[in-house]
Amino acid sequence: MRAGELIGRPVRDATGRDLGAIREIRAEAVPRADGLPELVLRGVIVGRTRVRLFGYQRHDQRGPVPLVALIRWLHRHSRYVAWEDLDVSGREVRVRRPFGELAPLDQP
Amino acid sequence: MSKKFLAVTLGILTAVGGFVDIGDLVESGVVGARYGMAMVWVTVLGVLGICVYADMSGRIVAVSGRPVFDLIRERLGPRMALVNLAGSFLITLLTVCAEIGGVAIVIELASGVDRLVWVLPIGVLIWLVVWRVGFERMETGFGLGGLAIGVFAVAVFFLHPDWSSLGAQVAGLAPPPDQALPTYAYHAVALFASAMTPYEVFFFSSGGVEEGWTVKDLSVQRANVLLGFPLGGLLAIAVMACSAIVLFPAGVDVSQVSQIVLPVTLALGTAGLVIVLIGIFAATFGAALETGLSSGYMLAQYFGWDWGKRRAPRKAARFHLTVGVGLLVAVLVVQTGLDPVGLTEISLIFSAVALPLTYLPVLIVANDREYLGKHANGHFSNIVGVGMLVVIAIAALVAIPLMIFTGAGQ
Amino acid sequence: MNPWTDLGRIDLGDALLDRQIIGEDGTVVGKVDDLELRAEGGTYVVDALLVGPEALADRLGGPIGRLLHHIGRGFRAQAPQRIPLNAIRRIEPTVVVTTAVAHATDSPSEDWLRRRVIGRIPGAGRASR
Repeated sequence: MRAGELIGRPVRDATGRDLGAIREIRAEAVPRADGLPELVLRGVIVGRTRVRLFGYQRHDQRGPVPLVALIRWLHRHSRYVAWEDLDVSGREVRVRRPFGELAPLDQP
Repeated sequence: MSKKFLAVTLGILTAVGGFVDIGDLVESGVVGARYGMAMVWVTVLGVLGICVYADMSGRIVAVSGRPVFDLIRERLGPRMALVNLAGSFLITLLTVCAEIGGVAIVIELASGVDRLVWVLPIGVLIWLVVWRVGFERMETGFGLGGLAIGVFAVAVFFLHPDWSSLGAQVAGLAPPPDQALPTYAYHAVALFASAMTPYEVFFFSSGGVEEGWTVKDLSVQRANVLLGFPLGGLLAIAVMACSAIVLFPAGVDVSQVSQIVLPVTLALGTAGLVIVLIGIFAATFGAALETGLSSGYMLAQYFGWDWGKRRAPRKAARFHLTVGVGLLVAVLVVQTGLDPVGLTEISLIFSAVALPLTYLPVLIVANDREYLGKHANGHFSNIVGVGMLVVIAIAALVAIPLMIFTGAGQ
Repeated sequence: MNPWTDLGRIDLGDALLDRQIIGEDGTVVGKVDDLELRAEGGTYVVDALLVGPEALADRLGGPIGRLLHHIGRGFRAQAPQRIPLNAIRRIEPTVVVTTAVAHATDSPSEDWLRRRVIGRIPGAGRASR
């Protein structure tokens, strides 16, 4: 499977509510037994807005203030979904929790 | 000493292509003849905007080595970047047509031989410069040559204008009572958009890579910006002033290049005419090179190809193919006899899309400490940057309705 | 040498996708047009970077993607090139890979153009001066 097949795919929660689409994939670098790292997918960010995060979820992408505020506001309904809660088998991605239980984005 | 002076010629050439290429030359003349000096504020606003964003682009290039279009795909994603690419590419190609047409007009004015004869030779000559002449030699020759347009500024003094009345027009900001407001607004938007056309930052930042700028060159890049673009703006204002002094009172409506050089001939005679024609030739040819190369830069930087004059052509085959085909298409278009300068008016439509999608990523990356570390934007750059982005957004929104409503400024 | 572990968490769209790839010696390779994922342990793992117009066209999708497929085939583009993760030395601000991998990654369209068109024009072998 390719990353391009995940990003942009429509998402629904456990109750059938439209959560938008997968906008970003969160991964973690995990060192393996032989010392080489592996990039493991940990979860995805889903949201209704097509406007990107532009890197504002990173600590070193700061300012200008009005733009950060705008991006935060646009992503106020975006949520992080851990991989365990995802079912990517169908055309539509299904989240095994309701929207209310999902974590909002901590940074932008 | 002379090496340091020549180090700013990239900024000068970029500015010449941005402020006194054939489209801007004619537009400045039109605006000066119609509104006197009332639009100087638009040029000043444009200079401020391009200075701030060219500085950001130059800093990004010097610190990280990445030119602007590279960043556009990275920040906006491949889809939106492709929309920008389409718009910017069309603007740039239309401008190449206009410049080739402009060079042909200048040679016709100088020689009396019909302009259509010169189109193909000019196209071939431009391609030869792209193929063989080194980047620094090119920017020095055509950048400094384009400065001969400064003869317009000299002519202003020799025309003995009524300075207080000129000053009143500048401060007045508003159009004269007999001119329609929507048409005034259209010309203001067109003038502003042409001061900030995306190919200026594409060319400037790619030029920084061609010259091998590093962190040590931060002061050089800033000198390029602070010297080049205000100079370009002053040249444009000088052209506007000559029209304002000679053609505005006479109520002449400008439509040709020959009318724009008339004030210089009046003030300085044949010597002035010779210098101004050399200046327009150099500026227009230089702008043709700037836009021709930019078409290759933007396509190569979107797809990730190797590019640039510093590479042997066989190592940057797709880049050279793009530039070559672009020049060929432009030559064909101009050879049909279409008014090439009129074509640049149409490019305003694409500016509505290309300007916001170009400058937003630049502003974002200029704030990214992963890219710039301690050289990221300070408060001044951010305040002016956000302000200009708002102006750009407004201009983008009203450009197409104004163009339709006023019939492109009739 | 480990470019990742001090980064911990990374967002693929932000840190990897659409970034420029260059070799340690400065060789231009291309853009990260897509990422190949491999199923492992209930989740997925990034297996390789994908470079090439075919990969980009698949990602763009729709009529534009199809147009890009046609243009790519016209210039002799083939299946996307794979760059395995262990070839990566650094990922910010651009993705830097080992020189060997950089040179090994082909660009069929560039090679074809060089042989058929650009390489045949006199002066193609020297940069402008």
